[in-house]
Amino acid sequence: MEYLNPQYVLFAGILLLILVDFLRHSMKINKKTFMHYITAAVLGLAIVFDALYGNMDIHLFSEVPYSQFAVGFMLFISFFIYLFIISDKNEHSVAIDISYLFAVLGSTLVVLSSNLLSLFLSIELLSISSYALVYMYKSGNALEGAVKYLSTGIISMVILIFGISLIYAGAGTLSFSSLHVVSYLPFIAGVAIVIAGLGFKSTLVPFHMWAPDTYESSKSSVTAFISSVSKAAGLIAMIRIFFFALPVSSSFVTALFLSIALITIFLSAFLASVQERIKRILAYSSISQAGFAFISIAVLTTRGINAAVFYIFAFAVADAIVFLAYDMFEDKNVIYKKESGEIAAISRIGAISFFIGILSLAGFPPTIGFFGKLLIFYALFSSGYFALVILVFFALLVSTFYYFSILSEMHVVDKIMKNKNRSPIKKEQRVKEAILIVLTLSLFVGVIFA
Amino acid sequence: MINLIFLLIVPAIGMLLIMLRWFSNKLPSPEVISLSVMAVDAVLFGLGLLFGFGSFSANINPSISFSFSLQENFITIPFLLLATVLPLAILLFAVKEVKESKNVFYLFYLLVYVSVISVFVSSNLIIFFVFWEIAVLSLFFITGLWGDREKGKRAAMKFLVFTQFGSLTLLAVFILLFLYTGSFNFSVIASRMSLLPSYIEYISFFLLLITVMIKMPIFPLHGWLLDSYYYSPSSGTMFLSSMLSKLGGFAFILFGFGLFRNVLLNFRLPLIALGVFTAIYIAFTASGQTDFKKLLSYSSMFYMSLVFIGISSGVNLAVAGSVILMISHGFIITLLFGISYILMQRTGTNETANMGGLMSKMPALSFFLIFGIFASLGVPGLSNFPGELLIFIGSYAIAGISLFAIFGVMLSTNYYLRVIKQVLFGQIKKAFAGLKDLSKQETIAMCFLSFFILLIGLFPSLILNTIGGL
Repeated sequence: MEYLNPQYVLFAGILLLILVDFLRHSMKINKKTFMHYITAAVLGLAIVFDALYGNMDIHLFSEVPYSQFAVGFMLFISFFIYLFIISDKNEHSVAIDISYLFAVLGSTLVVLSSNLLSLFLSIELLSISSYALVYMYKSGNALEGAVKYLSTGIISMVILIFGISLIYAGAGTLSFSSLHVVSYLPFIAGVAIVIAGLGFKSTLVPFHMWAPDTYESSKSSVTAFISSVSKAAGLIAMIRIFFFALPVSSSFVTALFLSIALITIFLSAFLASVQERIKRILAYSSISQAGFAFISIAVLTTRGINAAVFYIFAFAVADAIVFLAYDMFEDKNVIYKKESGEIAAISRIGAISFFIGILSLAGFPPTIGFFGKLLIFYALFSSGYFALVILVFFALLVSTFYYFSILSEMHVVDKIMKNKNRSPIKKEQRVKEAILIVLTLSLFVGVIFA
Repeated sequence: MINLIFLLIVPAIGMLLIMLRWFSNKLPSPEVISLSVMAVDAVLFGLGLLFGFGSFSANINPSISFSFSLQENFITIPFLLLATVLPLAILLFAVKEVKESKNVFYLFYLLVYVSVISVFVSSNLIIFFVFWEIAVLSLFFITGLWGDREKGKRAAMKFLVFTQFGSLTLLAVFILLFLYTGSFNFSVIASRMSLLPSYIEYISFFLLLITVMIKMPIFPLHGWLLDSYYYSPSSGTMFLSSMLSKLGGFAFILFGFGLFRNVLLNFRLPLIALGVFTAIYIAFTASGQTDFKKLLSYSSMFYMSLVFIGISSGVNLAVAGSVILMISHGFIITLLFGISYILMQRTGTNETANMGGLMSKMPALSFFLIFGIFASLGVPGLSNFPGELLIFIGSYAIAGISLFAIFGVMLSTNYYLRVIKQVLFGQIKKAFAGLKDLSKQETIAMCFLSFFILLIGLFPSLILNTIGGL
């Protein structure tokens, strides 16, 4: 029973895949679908074990109050994104299974790390497999996106390890349980540099510049993974460090955090409203979601952390939905905002899920995006930031504007009604729509976790 | 005993049926479904008046005190009358107007309908807010998709951004209440209001005021009004003016008067002055309009500013008057917008100066136009009169300045009589020789509305008696 944790399952799955692939090559069998089924089964099993037995709890990785929930929703989202990816008619190499499992394993380990070194290694594991995933679909300018992602990623990793070394110089330890705040200049510089390093991963302004390009140039279903699960991992790592390990509660740090969050929210809102391509709007919206989660982390209270974890869950699901739905539209060359009227003709259910996902991102009830914002405002109010909330309202208005400028172009209504006799829907589209339905339902049911 | 949940279940079944029409063509048309749903709901409401309403509650997430609970409060019943009965008449106009994508239109229509009802009966503030937002969203789509082809979308966007700001401030009020009382349940909050520090009460009251001033709307936050009223389809305009603006008044009475009464009493003089200024300003603005629909939009805002004066005086009498005025104005403005829509259909213009002499061709329409205008002016025996009277009596006791608003009533007499003169009297144009009078369906809708205008005007005590605790 001791080893029935999702992390072990994932690792065993990876080893099994490599073994089966070796056997397959030596026996000259050309059946890749079998490998995909194994991967899906491994992910599904990991979800079950997370729900039943919780996570791995050893020296370098330990559980915190929210980790079971966080790992659970990461696995849940990755499971459906994976099903979506393999339901495509393209031929997928086995490499995608292995790198995907490595990415998922890395992101769950980020949540659990209880040592700066293990945190660094987990993020590195997640990042390297993400670079591979972005480049795996050699369509369009995937190479450009992957190279941008790789170069900024490597720089951010170097920055992160530099900050970690400064912290080690000050505190003399890397373990979260024995870390403590010391008033030693390099140590403080180290903390600031760690913020920068993790800021790259979770796309906080001013470390966000790689995100729109990479999101746009990679395949949308991969973007769904990067913008939801991988970003959630970065944000949760921030919670772990700045709330549990280094309880930095000086007014300077709070002001720094709040200003980063506010700049992220405002800048992304304004940049999103001038974009013409749907995918870039979604990319900037995803950056602003990270800002909202971070503003809730910035108050550094238990309420704020709970709100942040729930909000990360909320936007991760919604981001996965919109990017997956957009994947179906992108195949039919819907790129610009003014073309979005055609999406209902491509897939009715896809359009409706896209619509609900955007409502959730914009924070409209009764979706969980609304409840996430409710909890964030609650946390901000209970720490006494009244004026801040009013400021955030203005950013929310701008975001309402650009989200609805996509929706009002959609003409969902007319198109849904007028496309009565179309060509029969293919089986793979049925599968994709089923996945979207499940994810969309979780946007409503998720409120029980608030 | 009629449980309030039935009022919500019936429209939900209707929406389900309309959605099922995508899969089978054997179901009745969406108009029939909506009409029968609303008729059943109106009957349920009538039964509820006789036998009393039961409350409903189901817990969803106790940690944030989120439960689906419905209960009547001290001003629910009159507003429920508005919300269950009035859409029947609006539907009769919508049937002729909406030709494309009917299924989706009626889906949104029922969504507005059910969410307005739910706002009036919900006792959990999260449920209140959820339905408040759904009403806004559905009207956004009604305006954007069925409204004016060129300007409808921009108008809808303006409406959404304005009202969304109001919704967010309302949400802030709710969170502040939750923070200090630990509950989203209205009755629990009301009993624990003493826990709020006074500065929080002030902050919440002003946030609430922003919501109300956007929703009703009151100067200077009325920028969205004209565009969204003018470019909506006329059924959307009717919903906006007769229901959505009433939500603002409802929230002001429920929270401003019910919970933050101390703050309201401290600030009543400046608020009344603001209301009076809005009334006179908007009466002047309306006087300058030559377009009938624009004129009606501004006059609708004029009556809402009278309501604002009544509520902000904080006197029971005036608040009761405001409730009556809101209900009666809902019926009257629907009738007048209906007539403006019919005139637009028949004559092809909204400019009153281009019409003229229609009395000879359309006697029935002329009767209802004059009836509506007189009701709107507050002729005794018709429904606006008791409301205006109570508001002026109640608020005069607090601030004599409120009587200046009567000047606004005089101005509206002026522009309304000008409308009657230009539209109905004078020489008829040759182009209008073949005009037809009201059809049977339109006459039914008009009679239906007129019945309620007369009923409330002759027996205002019917409504006054249902307002408990005032």
